[in-house]
Amino acid sequence: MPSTIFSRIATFINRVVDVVSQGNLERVRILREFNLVFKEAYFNGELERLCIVTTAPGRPDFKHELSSFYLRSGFKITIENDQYLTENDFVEISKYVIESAAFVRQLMALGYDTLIIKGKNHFIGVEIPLKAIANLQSYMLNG
Amino acid sequence: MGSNMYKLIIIIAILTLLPFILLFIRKAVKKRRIREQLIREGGDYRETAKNIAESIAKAKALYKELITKVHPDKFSEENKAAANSLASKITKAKKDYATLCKLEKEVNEFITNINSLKN
Repeated sequence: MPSTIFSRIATFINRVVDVVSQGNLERVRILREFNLVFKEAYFNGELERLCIVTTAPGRPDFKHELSSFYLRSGFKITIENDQYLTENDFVEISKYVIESAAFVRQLMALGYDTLIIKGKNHFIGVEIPLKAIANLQSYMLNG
Repeated sequence: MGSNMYKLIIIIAILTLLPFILLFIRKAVKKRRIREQLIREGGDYRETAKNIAESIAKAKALYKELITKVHPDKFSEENKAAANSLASKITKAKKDYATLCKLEKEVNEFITNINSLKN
């Protein structure tokens, strides 16, 4: 019970920080929609693993023109039940997420520069620079 | 005289800083416009999330099914090029379930057309 209350407070504070730092509700929306869909898919039996999406610290060397402050620049997908997952599995999962360049640019527009996919209980995972997947150059030049 | 000098210094400071302030505002407005454009182009978050979840769950199986159906070796010379083209589209969309579903219709139409020509 105390851990649930604590995580709810942490989520609320995270949302407030996202709204204040971005000046809009887009980050709150994207995290909410992703978490709802992943939860539904897990409880419907479509997905074997429960994934939770949060904002997390990114890598400063992955920064791009639209990045937020590095402590809030990671788009993190945590796999709750991560038994028997190997590093290859995380790499495979990341390929599905970065499949759409338009979605990657959307994440970059929201200030994210690092895609993090990690297991909850083990320390393996991947960190991917979004600027390596999609380029903002043409938008910055023509905008 | 002293206060006039003070005012002059402030005016010179503001005029010196003004171009930088205007440049900063211009950059911020440009970035905001680019952000809005990219967010619009990315589409609906729920649809994207659904596609990612469905792709993780079902894309591999659908890809295998479709690529088996349009394997160029299964078709005569006249249909090989079309089969090849479909196969490469399917391979490109290997991890995108929504696109694979659209290609499934194309594949089924292609096979139906070939079968109806045979008959």
